[in-house]
Formats: sequence, C-alpha cells, structure tokens
Amino acid sequence: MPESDDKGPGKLAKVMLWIGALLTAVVTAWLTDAFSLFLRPADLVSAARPPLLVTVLPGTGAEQDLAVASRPTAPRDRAVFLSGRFGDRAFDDVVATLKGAWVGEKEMRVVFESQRDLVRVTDVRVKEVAPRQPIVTGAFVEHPRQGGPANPQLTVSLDARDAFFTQAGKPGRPYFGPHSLSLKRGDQAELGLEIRARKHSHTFVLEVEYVVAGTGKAETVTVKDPAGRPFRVTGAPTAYTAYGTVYRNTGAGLKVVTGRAACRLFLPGRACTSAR
Amino acid sequence: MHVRALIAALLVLACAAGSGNARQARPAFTAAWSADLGEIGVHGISLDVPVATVGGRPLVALPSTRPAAIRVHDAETGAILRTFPLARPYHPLDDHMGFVGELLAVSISEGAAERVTVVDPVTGRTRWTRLLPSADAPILDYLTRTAITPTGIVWASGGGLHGLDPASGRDTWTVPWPGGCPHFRLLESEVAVIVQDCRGRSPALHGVDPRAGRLTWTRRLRDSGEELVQIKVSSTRLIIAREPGHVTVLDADGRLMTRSPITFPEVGGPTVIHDAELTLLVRSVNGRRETTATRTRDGRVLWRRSLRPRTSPGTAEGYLGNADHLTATHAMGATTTELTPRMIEVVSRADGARDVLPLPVSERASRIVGSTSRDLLVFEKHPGGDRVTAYTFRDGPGASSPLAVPPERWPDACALLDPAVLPGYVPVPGTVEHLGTRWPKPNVCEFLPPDDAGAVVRVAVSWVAATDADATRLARTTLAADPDAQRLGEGAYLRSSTGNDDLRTFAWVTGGRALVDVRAAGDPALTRRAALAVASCLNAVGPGRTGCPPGRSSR
Repeated sequence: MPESDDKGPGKLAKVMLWIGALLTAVVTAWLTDAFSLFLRPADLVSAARPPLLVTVLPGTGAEQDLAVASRPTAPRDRAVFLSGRFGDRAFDDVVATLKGAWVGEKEMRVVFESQRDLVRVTDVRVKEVAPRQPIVTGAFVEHPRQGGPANPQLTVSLDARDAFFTQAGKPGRPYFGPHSLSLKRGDQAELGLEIRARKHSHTFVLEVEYVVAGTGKAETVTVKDPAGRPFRVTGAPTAYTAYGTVYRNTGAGLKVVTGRAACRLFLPGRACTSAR
Repeated sequence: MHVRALIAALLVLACAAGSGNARQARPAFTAAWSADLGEIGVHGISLDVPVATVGGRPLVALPSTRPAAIRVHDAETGAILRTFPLARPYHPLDDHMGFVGELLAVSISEGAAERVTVVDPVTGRTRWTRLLPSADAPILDYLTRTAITPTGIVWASGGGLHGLDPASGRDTWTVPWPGGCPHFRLLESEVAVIVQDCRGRSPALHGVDPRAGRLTWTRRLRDSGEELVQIKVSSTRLIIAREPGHVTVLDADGRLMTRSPITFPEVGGPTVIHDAELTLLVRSVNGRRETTATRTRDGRVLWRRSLRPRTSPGTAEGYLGNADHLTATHAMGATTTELTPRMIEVVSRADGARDVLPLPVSERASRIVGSTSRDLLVFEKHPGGDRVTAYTFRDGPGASSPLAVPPERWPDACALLDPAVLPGYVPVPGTVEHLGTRWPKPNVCEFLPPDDAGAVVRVAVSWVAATDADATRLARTTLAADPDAQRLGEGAYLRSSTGNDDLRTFAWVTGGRALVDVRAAGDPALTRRAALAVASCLNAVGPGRTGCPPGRSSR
C-alpha cells in the first residue's frame, strides 16, 4: 500500500480529535462549575474516607510489662517470643496467641484526624468485648525499659463499676461531657490514654463518638490495636511467685530468672529478701 | 510499508538486546579515592565537608591531624593540592569551615572566641587571620558565633552582627540584633540567617545579606506552643522549618518554596535538596514516605514516589531515611537498617528509580559528610587513621563488581554454628514480616535452648565483602568503632556494650570475608563460646563457600 494513501483520513481524524478534546474541556469546565455549587472538590476527594481517622501509635516509650497465659511450643514461635522484641509485629502476633496482656495498665497514644470541615469528638470510652477473666499468671515478661516516663492526659480504671476517662489529677469527674475536642479539616490532635486494671484481666476496644458539623447526628468509630485486635490488660498478683515463669528482657533476648532476681524485676525499687 | 515494518522489527530487537544488557549490569559503588585524615576521633561523624569549584576545578577541603592542618584536595582524584597548617587539630564539633567565593575560610574556636583564617586554595597563601571577640554575643553556649557562607563571613558580638571583607578581614558593616528577646543562633545558608527563638512566641528567621550588610528579609513561623519548631539547613543550603503538622521550606532569599503537610507516623524526612534544575522534597504522609521532584525553575512536578517502610514505624527498618545529598545524576542518603554496615539509597534524578546499595563501612563508624557532582563523600573510622572516601555510583553497562556480595548470596546463618557446640539446641531460620507475608531472612538464625532456662543464641550475618581488601577494611572499621572490645581470638570480639542486665553478651566475628554478629541472651560465657565456634567455622570454610562442616568448629 502506498504511504500517501492514508494521509487524507489521518488529517481529518486529527481535526476531529482536536474538536472533540476542546468540546470535552468546555463541558467538563461547565459541569465542574455547576456541581461546585453543591459539592466542593475537597468533599469529592474525601467522600470515600471516614470523617474521623483514629490512629493508635505503636509505642509510648513507657510501656508496661507483659503477662502471658501460656508459653509457646512451636520452634518458630519460641524463637520469636524469646527474642523479646516488643513492638515487632511477629512478637505481638505470638503474644496474642498466648493470650498476652499488659500488666497493671496499658498506655497508648491516639491521634485523631479530621477528614471533614469540622468534626467534634464528644466521647472516648472503653468497651469490654469479652467477659472479665482472672488475672493472667502463666509467665511474666519484662518490658525493655528504654523510654521516658508516661504522661497520660486521661486515665480510666477498669476496676470501677462505671469506667470513664478522667483528666489526670481530677479523679471522679468524667472528662468527656464537660469537654470535647474540635478538629478542622486536616487537623490532628493526640491524646495520651492510660487504662488501668488490678483485679481481673480485660479485653476491650475504644469507642470514639463524634459529630460531623452540619450532619446533626453522632457517629461512632471503634479503635483496636494496629493489628486489628482488641487490647488486653490484666491485674498483677501480689507476689512474683504466682507466675509460672519470670523472663528478664536482656536486650539480647528473654532470659528466665528466679529467686531474688525475679522478685526485683517484679517489684523494682522494693527490697526483696532472699526468702521471697 | 515493508521498510517501516523492518525498522520496527529492528527497533524491537535493539530494545530487547538493550534490556538484556541492562539486566546484566549491576548497579554498584566504586571508591574513587580515599583520604587519610589521621585520628579525628568519634566526632568525625559531625564533619561537614565543603565543596566548591575554584578556577574551573572542583575542590574539597578536609581536616588532617598528621600534621594538624586543613588540606585542599582535587575532588575528582583526591590528590592533595594545598596544605594549610593549624595551631591545633581541627575539631568537627567546635570548628567549621567553608568556601567563600573562591577563598576558603576556617573558624577554629579558642575558648569563648573564634579565630577565622581565610586562605587562597589556588595560590596556597594565607590571606588573613583574626581572633573575633564574640564571648558577649547573645548566642547560646556551644553554638557557633560565626557564619561562613558562599556569599560572605559574619560574626556575632553583643553589639550585633558584623560583616567581614573576605579579601582583607576588615569589618565592613554592623547590623544590630533584631528587637524582641535576645535568644539567637546562626544558620549558614547561601546567606547568614539569624534564628530568633523566644519562649512562648513564634520563632522568627532574619536573612542577612553579607554583601549588602543589612537584614533583607524576616519570616515568622507558626508555633503551636506544644511542639518545638525545628529549623535546619539542608545539604544544598535550603532552610527547612518543621512546624507542627507542616514542613516549610525557604530559599536563601526568604521566599517560600513549599509548605507541605507531614503526618504521623514519621517514616522519612522532612528534607529538601535542590540545584538549578531539580528540587526534591521528602516528607511523611500517613505512614508513607513521599518523595516529590519538581523543576526548580517553575515548580512543575516531574515525578512523585511513595514508599512504605518494610516494618512498622518505631522499629529499626521502620524509618526510610532521606535521600539528602545531591550529585549530578542522583540523590543519595543513608538508610536505617538492621544490618551493621551502612546502606546507601540512590534515587535517580530522572525518574525516581531507587537502588539501595551497601557500603563496606560500619554504621557505628561512618556517616555521609558531603557530595560532589559525581561522588558521595563518606567519613569512615579506621584503627590506623580516619578517612573520607569518595564513592562513585555506576549503574550503566560495564559497571564494576560491587564492594559487597548482595544479601541474597550471603551464607545461611544456621549453617555457621556446628550443632555439636550447642547440644540440644534447635536452629530456627529468621523470618521477616512484609506486606502481611512472612519471608525468610536467611542471614539470621536463632538457636533455641532445650528449655527456657538456657539462653537463646542468635547468629546474624551482617556483611559479606566481595574482595579480601574490602573484607580487611571492614574488619578494621568494625574494630575501630569499638576500641574497648575484648579480643576472643580467630577474629572474634566481645563488644564493650552491655545489655539491660549490664552483661556483655554481644560479639562479632570476621572471617571468610564475612562479618557475623553473635549473641546469647544474658549469658556472656555462652556468647564467647558461640562466637569462637562461628569464627572457627568461618575461617575453616573460607571465601566463596558457605556452611560449616560438622566437627570443624571449636568446642
């Protein structure tokens, strides 16, 4: 086929394409302008996103020790567990299978981010998702103490009949109710929370209630740990001897300790006689 | 038409051949040159190497302790061109230097004052030297009271900021300190920048043009009162202010280059580097590191790359680092890694394509200290004398062999310890979680005791050098980083660092071109035994082979 044969139709097609592109641009501009009276581009972008993003940060620097109900038996799980790498996803997974719980209290940092023009967080509460259980005493695992002191803004005790967050230093009065957090689009607010338990072990999630400005209704988002599991916190026994095993976190892995060394681990700062 | 078809077929064939060649070529670093600095000490990692083109020749200035001097090197060959003696050795924490036009200025602290000396790197002549009485300047202790920038030199006193004529050393102008609180520090951008940081008020930046001798711009930053505003100057002298939730970048004229949101968790940046053609912004957005390249001239976005860390933030590999040094072809920076030696990230300026390559130097003893248009400059600590080495990145056909063996060809860590040394122990190969999937990590092996009363022994291959020379260099660097280590024998050393239980249970072993970390949780005696067994194994097997034949290791 001669090369000149397809030149005529090619030119026509190009012209048609140009006219088509021009028409599309004009119509799109008109439509966008018309729609923007009802819906702004920012709303279009964020329509698929939840109005409030809640992120639990992986560490506070002041984590508590762990208690697990049993010890791992499979070699890989043992290797991961004995590595003692707190915060490592594999370690957290193994601890979860062993029904691990934070001893005494759980500290967490929660970041709220608004995806709408104005969101007001009206309540943050603890919701227990399983019946309370006896305290966990299978084994005690020391947390590698490297972080600074905790400085939670809100605390709650799960031993109380009505568990609600109170402001640090102002016990007895719920924080939410008199207070709320308002967030503009893109704003972030961080809350340091402390959830305490003494008598039982608890499995719980956080429920965050919020109101999006202009909608007139309250919505709720459930917050779990970064792996999507509920949080667990347990009370501690009065003596370390209640634990089946006590592990010291050496920084190079977990090591079983007994006697006075175990007692000192469990009660740092207190005198441990050799008889304990 | 037949001709067209033939040309198309030839093009396809050429592309196929080209891609085949490209696959064969492996990106690599080669050491262009290495300069001996003498014993700079651990503070060598604070070194900032000035680079400039003087009379058409690219130069770098490096300190030296044998003799105490500043040496000007050719940036392409590393050859020493000029040596300028100092009264005492250069101390990177207290002293600083930089090119001012075609002259080199060196500031050496003398008690509360600073002595500035300006030399001509071409003629080797010292132009002038002055002791500047800056003790009463309203600048915090331990912070520099002089600013050496490409456009001039300024020094601080109680009366204000003074400009110096680089050619003669005479004071040429004085600018009084800005009103408000008297808490200042100096930054070295293309011009000198005064940072005024007052408690309870927003920090302010004041640009001082050394040539004009006046405050040319002022910009106030947003301060939430809860988080500190961090202000720094990037390797290409842009001013980066990290405000709550945002990063603000200013050029030397105080013009806003970008203001971008940054969100938790932090996985890289914020930093910005630029030259006449390209501006590269690195920041964290929702757990991903966003790298955006724009054309400097008009801000047009050329490419954008988003990367999520391999592991969750807060872990060793949960931070991706920054490509914060610029060469003519790539942006480069160090990445955080579990491996002991330094990994360098190389990002193509053209399209953001990314390579992560090893350098055979220890993380504890090395740091990127600058870049030229061709090379990355790395400070390395060695037992016989510290060095700055210029590494050239090559990714085209004909690239030379890499300095290290790629990790996929490292020996199996579980095969480096004779099972007879640890009776009853079970080796478990390491794994790593990535994108929800568990992948093998054969460079790590954990030997589990029969019961939990015993200590877990962890053996991790940290490095395998490609040549004997690089292996020797790596062994020396590792030892230099820990002078208090205890030698166990056969290339095995017990680290001076201790665990949470105050016991020395970390060891390293070199042999067979490999560097291997060994540790037994809370059991120094077992650490020694395991380290010696690994050493025996490495030395028995030798380079190019992996595995430890049973019965070859020491008991």
